[in-house]
Amino acid sequence: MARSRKPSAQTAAVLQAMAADPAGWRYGYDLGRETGLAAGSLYPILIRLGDRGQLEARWEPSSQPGRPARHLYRLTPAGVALAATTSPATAPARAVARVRPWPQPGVSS
Amino acid sequence: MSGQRPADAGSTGPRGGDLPRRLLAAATAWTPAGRADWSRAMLAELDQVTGRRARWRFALSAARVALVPPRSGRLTAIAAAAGAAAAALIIHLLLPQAGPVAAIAVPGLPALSAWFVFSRPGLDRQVSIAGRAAQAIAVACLAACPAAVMREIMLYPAAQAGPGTAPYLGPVWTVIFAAELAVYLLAVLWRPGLLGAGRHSGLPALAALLLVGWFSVLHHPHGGLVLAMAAGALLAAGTLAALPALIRGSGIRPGLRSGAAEVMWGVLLTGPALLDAMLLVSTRSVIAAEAAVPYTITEAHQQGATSVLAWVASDDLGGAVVLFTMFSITIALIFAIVHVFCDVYSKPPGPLPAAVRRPDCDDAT
Repeated sequence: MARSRKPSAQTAAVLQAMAADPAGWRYGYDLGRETGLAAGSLYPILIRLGDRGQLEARWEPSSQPGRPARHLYRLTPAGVALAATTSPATAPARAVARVRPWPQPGVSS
Repeated sequence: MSGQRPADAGSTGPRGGDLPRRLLAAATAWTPAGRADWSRAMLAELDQVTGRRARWRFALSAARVALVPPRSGRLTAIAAAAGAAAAALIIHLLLPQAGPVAAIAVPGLPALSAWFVFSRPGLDRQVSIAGRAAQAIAVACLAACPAAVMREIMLYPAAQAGPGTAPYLGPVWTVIFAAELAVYLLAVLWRPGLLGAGRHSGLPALAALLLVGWFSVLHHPHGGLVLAMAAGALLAAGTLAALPALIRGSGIRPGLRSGAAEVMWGVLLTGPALLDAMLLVSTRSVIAAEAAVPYTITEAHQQGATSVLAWVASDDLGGAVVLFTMFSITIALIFAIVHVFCDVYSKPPGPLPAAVRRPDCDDAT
């Protein structure tokens, strides 16, 4: 059952990131880097969006042997509609303050 | 809604890996079935994260999601909270001297367990009738534990003599007791399928019956403590002797997982049943018989208790909680020893007929 409650600032950030290219499939890692959300915040958001039918996912077989398949995500039309109701400008400042950039691939911290 | 899974989607990648990967892989093993795809997705993404600190941060953060994924159990939470609140009110009205800690912790912690289990998307709902029956018995025995404690405190004869003379559970023991009940309930509700399709369920029930009989005999009014213990030892020996034969005869393939399940259910069914029996018998027999001389009971543990039950009925029910814990550990050890015995000495049976194979236990061994 879809909720009418306003998405949280973190959810809005994820929606905005994905709505920038609604047709494109995104990796969780890339979404985390773009939004600055930790995995513990990002994945619950993706799971909830998926439960509500606002996100679809598919598996991408790995091109490298021994590596597991990766999950890809994109918004459904319902998710795109939800994203249209949110705006980064309305996100509370504390959500922005929590943003901590993820490390770039190949760069050790 | 995780999309079509490719053939290698179930793979967790190369075995082993660094500590963050091992940690996350261990956590994903506990993810409910309904969220397993998300755990695999997080594990696959960890392979893209570089840098020691970043990998630890990702693994720890994702492990939390893997262990406690989001749930849609809003109604479950409301029902659990309402049940706990109602139970707290009943405890407060019937037993005001129990205090706020008991009123909150005793129903609250088990309600938390129930909410945790029932709000999991991957809850095992395909359970045999025998499994459901054993689960119902275990839940009933658990629910009876706090009820029996309350009854003992309410009916304690010395309680009429004035405040401070009734048996009590201090706040610390109350929280420990509530936490034990919560852990038991979590185990009972978690994987009832592990109990099996009727081949296991008779064993813990038999052990529970005999051990309860043992402790009932311990307070037989016409027998001394030595006689009671001798009878109890015979019953326990009979139980232990019967278990290996029953296990062999039942066709159970010895294995760590089925053994662990058997141990778990032995404890779940026997421990709470023992505490219930002790409290009910001590309330009825000891207190009723010695109601005229309440200090005999109150001082029982100091003067040298004539039986375990007299000690339980003495002025600190924390003793009963100690026994409850000791029973659980002892029973777990007994069942573990029996299963080790079966593993070592029993002949390896052939493959079980398809009709009685249970993928969750048999294939894992």
